[in-house]
Amino acid sequence: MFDLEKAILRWRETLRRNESLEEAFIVELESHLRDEVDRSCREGASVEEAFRKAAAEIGQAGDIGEEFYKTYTPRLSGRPPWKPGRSLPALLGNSLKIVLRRARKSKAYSLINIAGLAVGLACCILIVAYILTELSYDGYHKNASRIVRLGVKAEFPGTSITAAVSNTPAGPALVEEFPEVLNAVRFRPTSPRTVVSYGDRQDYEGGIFFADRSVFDVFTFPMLKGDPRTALEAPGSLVITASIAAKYFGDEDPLGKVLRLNNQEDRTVTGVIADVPRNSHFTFNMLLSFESLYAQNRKAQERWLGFPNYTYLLLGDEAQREALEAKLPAFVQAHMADDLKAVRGTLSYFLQPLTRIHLHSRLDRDVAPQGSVLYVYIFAAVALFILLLACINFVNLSTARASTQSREIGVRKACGASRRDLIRHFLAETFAHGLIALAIALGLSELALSYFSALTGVDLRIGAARLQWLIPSSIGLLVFVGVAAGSYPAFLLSAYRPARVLKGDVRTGVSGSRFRDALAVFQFAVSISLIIGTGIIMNQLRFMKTRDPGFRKEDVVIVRVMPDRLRRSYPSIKARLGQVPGVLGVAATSTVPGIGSDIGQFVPEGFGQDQAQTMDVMNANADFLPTMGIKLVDGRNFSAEDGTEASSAVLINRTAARKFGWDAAVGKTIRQYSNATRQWEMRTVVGVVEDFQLASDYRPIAPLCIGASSTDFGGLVIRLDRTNVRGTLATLNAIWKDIDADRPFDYFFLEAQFDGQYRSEERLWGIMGSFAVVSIVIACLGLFGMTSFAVERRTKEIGIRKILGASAPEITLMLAKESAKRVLLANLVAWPVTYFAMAGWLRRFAYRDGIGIGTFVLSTALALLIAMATVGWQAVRAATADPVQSLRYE
Amino acid sequence: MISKALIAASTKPIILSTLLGRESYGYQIIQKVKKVSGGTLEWSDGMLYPVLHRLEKDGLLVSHWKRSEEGRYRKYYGLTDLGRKDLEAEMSQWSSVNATLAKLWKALAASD
Repeated sequence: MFDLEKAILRWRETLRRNESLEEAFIVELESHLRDEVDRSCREGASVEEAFRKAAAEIGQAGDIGEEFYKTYTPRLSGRPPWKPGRSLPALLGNSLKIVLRRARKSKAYSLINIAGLAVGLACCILIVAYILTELSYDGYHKNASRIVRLGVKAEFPGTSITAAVSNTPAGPALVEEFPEVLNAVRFRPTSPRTVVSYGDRQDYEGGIFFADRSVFDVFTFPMLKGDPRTALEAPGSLVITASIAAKYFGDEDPLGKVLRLNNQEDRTVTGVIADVPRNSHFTFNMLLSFESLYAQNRKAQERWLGFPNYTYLLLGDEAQREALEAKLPAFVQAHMADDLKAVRGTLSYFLQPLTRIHLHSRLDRDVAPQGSVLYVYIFAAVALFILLLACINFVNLSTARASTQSREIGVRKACGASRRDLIRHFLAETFAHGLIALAIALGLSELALSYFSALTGVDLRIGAARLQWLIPSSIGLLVFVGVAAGSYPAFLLSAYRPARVLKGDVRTGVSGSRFRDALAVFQFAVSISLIIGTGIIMNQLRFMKTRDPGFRKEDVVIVRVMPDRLRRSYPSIKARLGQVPGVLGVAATSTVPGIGSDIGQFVPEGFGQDQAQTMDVMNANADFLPTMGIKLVDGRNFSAEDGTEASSAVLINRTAARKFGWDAAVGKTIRQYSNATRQWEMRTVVGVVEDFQLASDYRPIAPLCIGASSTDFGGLVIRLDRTNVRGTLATLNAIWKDIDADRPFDYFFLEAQFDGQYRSEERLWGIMGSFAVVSIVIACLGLFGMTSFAVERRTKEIGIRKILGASAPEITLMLAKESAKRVLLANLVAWPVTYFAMAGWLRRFAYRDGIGIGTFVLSTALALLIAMATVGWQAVRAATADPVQSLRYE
Repeated sequence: MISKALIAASTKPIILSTLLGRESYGYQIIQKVKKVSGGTLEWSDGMLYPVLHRLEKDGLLVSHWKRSEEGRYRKYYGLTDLGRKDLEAEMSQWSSVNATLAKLWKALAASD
């Protein structure tokens, strides 16, 4: 039975939702409607027909009204006041008003939509900041495109390295012999912890390099005080940065003042430069004159077989690089042929463009840890994904919302809105949402900037550079999002036919809802992949950190001591330290496990001269094995007699013994090439130690030879009693003057240093974890919104089911099952993709944990749990609602 | 088919004329105009009501709600003094134009 009153009530409701109609006007229109219905009925139509016809006629051809206005009311745009403007800004303003009004009415929808978009946009902004910063490294040098770094690729029997370092004579020789090389600069790094003092100010400084005086001609380091042409000319001269100047000299003029290094050497300040910008592939605090290195010993700088420097060349033209590279083998031949023959090695140079160093350099012995273009690509992909997720949400929510709004659209269309108008309205509404979301996103990204900087290890505060790209890119982003997210609902919805829609007959189309489901599944697939990836990285990290490194790394501190002092006074140092309660063991060593070592050439007994082996090499004294807790598996440790300068006793590790095929290694001889004497020297193996990890986990353990020579010792290893670490350290600090009067007690914990090598993995874990959280948040926001619409749409259905006897749990289950299905489907996609991606990543580790099924299952369970929690609350609420109420809704 | 411009221009004088003498409500105005014009002027509600509101805003009309016996609420419009004066102005304008056209057409008919 058609109920006119009910129909009119509904009709009023829809009109009311049309924001441009005032209440009084609606009443007037209703009165008109009734009159029209009466008349139609009098002419014989049925009430239902009459109503439909009358309702449809209302609002026809407002065009005539427009004409009236043009004639009688000279408004500039000729547009009646109740019609929104046609231009986009006016439409935007109107839509903003509408959005705000609608937001007040259905807060949840607007909040969810804007929140999801804002989070996605904020992520994108941060990632774009990161990418732009990474791409800008070293670009500030005027000659940047013409500067190249000289690297070496060396092959010795058994090993090959590609390194960023170069030998000392190369730079100047290249300048002299090749006209296309205009200039060269050599940098020599020094200790990362040097004592610097001026008057009563003293501190440890790092980033101190020796540099050629040409550094200011090749690079752009603006000099604030002093003359760049002569600043580093004289040995003993020193150029400092503005921060160092402020730190030690305050307001005084630093020029001409003297800084004392390591309490031994005096350097005179000849120049002050601006702080090195953070987006440089390495930064420094002070430059010492390269001349100082060889002032005493001119001959040493002719050594071609040693690579202690970083050399940069300035070319006449960047196009000359490849041609020059091709000429370098002849250069090598001319200068290094004899040296290379003696060590049976080959060497070639390569030229690395300055601007590619930061992102594309994967060289050994680089001056500072570099970034990786891989991360830039990953981040860009992640940014795109997250933006995609946010847009998908927006599209889903908009279309879902539209299906509940469809009647209003029908009225709008009946009132004469053209399809173009509707599309424009939707696009404008999308823009309005987008603008609000963008504003929030900008705020969010500002807040999260420092957190994100710490997470990625890249300083994102590149000041003015940010402003340049922020405005155009955010506008670009907004346009992209607006078009992408707004076009689907706009076109889909404006295609509805008003009569059908007024009847309440709205089917969004099976294809429409299936598309939305697919999008939701995609969102969850991405989220689950990220969660799994994070889990796997976490696993691997834990595995690496807890693996037995072959020595006891806890409670050990390393102290640097000058080699001379260690060599001369080790016994007395050891005795003095032994008096300190809490010191359990002391040893001297040339290098520290976990940091890396030198390599050397060896010819083991039974091998021919042409079968030289490359081994890791280090020196330590007899106390080393017991203090570090390294096990001896054969033979004996060094004895006191072995610890002389001319000692020939060595220890090898198990891997070496295995590699040489020695079952009984003790007593075998092995010849080692000495760089100092350029001779092959005979050594005798006195013992075999268990493998221990000398370098990072990336490489499998290599053969190692530990020598007993004390000339190389650079550090003290001190094992502390666990129960009183701090007290012992304090005591050591107090008595250190007795041991080394020149330097304060400067130590670091071995464990911290050792674990520090995992920093990049930890960083990756942090980043991936953060993105996993973000993507799950966005996915859940979307899920929440979709579910509320589904519930709203199906209130009547739920009510009927309840009346027919379904219980609350049954209904909850029914609603939850659908979301669960989506999540499970997402796994089908996520699992294989993630497996292959992570397997590839794990390949770079020599020792890995493997990918367990547990991580996958756990991640899925987590995602499912979160999804259920999101959906569950609404499902329960719908299931327990009073069915009578929900039926009355109609 | 009467052109939009013409319909627009004629709306105000027609409304004012209809309301001269006695007040009326929207639906009734539409029916009367349809009858008087012999069906050539079929105004829609979308056209009429905005004009009525505008005329009221400009002070030419005044309105009040009345309740009928059946309980229906209707908004009645009536002329103000300003409206009457405006109508007089319209009448003189339209008469001038009408007279001119009549003369020209008479001349045309005569020359055939």
